[in-house]
Amino acid sequence: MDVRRILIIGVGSALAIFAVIAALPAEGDPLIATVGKPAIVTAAPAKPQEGLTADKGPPRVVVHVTGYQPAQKGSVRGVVKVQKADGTEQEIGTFGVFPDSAFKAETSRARAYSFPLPKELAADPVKLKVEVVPDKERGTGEGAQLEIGHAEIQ
Amino acid sequence: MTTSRREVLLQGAVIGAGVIAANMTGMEAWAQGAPPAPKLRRSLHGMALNDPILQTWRDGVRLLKAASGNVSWASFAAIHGDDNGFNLCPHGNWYFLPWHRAYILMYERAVRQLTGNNDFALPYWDWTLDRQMPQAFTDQTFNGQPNPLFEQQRDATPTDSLPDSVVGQAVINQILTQAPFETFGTSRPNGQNNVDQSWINCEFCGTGGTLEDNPHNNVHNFVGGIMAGAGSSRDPIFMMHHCNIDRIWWLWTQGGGADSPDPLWSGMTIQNNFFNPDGTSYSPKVSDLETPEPLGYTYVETPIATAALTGQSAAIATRSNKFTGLWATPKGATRPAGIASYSASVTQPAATVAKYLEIPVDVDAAALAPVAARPSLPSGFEMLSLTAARQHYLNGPRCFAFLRDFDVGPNTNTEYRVFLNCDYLSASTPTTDRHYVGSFGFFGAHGHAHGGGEPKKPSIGVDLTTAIARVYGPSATPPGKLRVQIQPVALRAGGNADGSAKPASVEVAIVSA
Repeated sequence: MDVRRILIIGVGSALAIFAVIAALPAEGDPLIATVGKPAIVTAAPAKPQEGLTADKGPPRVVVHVTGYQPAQKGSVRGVVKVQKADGTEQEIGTFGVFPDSAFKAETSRARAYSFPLPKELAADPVKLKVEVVPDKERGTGEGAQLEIGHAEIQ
Repeated sequence: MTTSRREVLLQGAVIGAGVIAANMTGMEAWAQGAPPAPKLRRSLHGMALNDPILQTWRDGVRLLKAASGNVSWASFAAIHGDDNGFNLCPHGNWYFLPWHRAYILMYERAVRQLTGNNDFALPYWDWTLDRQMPQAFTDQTFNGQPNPLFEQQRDATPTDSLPDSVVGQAVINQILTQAPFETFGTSRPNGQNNVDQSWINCEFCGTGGTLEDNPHNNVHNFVGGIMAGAGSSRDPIFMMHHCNIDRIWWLWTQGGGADSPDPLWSGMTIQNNFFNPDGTSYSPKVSDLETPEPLGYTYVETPIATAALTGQSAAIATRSNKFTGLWATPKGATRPAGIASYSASVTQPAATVAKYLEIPVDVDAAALAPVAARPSLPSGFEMLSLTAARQHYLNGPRCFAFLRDFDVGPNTNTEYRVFLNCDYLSASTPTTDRHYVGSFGFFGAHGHAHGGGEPKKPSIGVDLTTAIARVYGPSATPPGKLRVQIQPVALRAGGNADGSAKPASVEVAIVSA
């Protein structure tokens, strides 16, 4: 086996290993939430859609969830908090994933959950914290995971 | 004196007297002759286990489970979905509410037909008021026979409670103030431009609203077992859960919420998803599903009062005075007529986090029975009219406990929770437990009074009415002994809670109707 061939095989193997590692959610991935490790995502005002005739209500944040893994025992719920400029947080809503079973979706088929956003925060991008909270009476929420695709202000 | 439509509705719901309301689209439809008066869907709160409504639901579920063909438990459940996923039901899009309205209506009509009880209407689980699953669904047997409403696979136990963040009053109030419809009731599927059937069960193609994504989803998951999956309608509590979702939609429209005017929503016909009681297809248009009354049911008693408020001011004032007298009567003084009083001295050790204090008070069970049977205001009604809600509070019997002359310890980081007749009480029993009455705390009650000397001993009063109705209801004979329990807990988790407190006496006072 010549040196050139060994080099090609080596580089190819390294690339393959890198691709596999890159596809796995990294430790501390900001878009993966587990119990005690919230996902942090920035929501920016959405561009107005052409031809949309629906009533425009008060500002809302829409969080797109692209994946979910239920807890091994008991149930969990998602809690969404907005981080304000003064460093404080404000809870803006709670949601559940029903059915309580694993799913993985492409971005275009993500499940969208909406929450009212205080008007004073709607003009600029806001940082959101998405937490996984267990039903403490029935489990610790171990194994539960929410994967956030993106978030926007509407 | 003017009466708003909201007040009229609330009066009808909680007082239930008067004549038929005018200016109501749905009401007009049935009042003009065609269908019979809509049946009242009642709350399971305080409903007796042998109430004809619960008995009919038990019989209906049993008969549907035994049946085969289109009108059967298995057939109806398969419409919604199974362990492999949803079938025809929409979730995460704007047909969620009307589709499920028609779906549970199918059960209601089938049960009427199968049992012959034409007065039957589905009861609802008002989970804001009753955080634990209703007993009718958790008892394994009823009258010595297997209970068809019990489902073995549920994860929630009878003492597990739904939290405030899922079904608390603040969540319901926020839902009821949402607008427009697509914010309240989940939005249209992305890209929908026609009324093709495929848009109906385009799962999660819209953006969920709080009603669907929080209480709806989380109550499913809280009950657990098959209720947490797409085959959830195999659990008989499914219909009571969705009946409450349906009631909140009804409340929202009564409070001024407007359903979507878009013909892509209202003009959609849900074709061949449901069955009539005779097994033929039931294919309603969404616009036919916007108002419950033409569908044969309502959430407010009819006929609805229009003039119910007339002449009530004097009576309400008298009631108000009685309550004032209740709170203002000096210690030891004779209670005014219409107030029964029962007292006990406290000889037990003070309440601490490690050991709660329980004070038994002997009462007349016959005097307590009307309190237990008193209908509670369904959650969310006060959003329609605070005035009428206040009148409801003042009407009917109530029961209070007055805990007098507390000896108070240092009280760092301590909240005092009051429970009633709870057999499993501990510092970890949540405030969502059915036996919970309320909480109190002490501020500045320990140490010396202003200007020196011994501090005044504080007294507190708590309203036991809702807890009594929740624990006993009209079904059980209330006990002749009320155990008032004081359980201290830490205000801040992890902090040292060293508080202790003990009243010198407890008085239970029952105000008659």
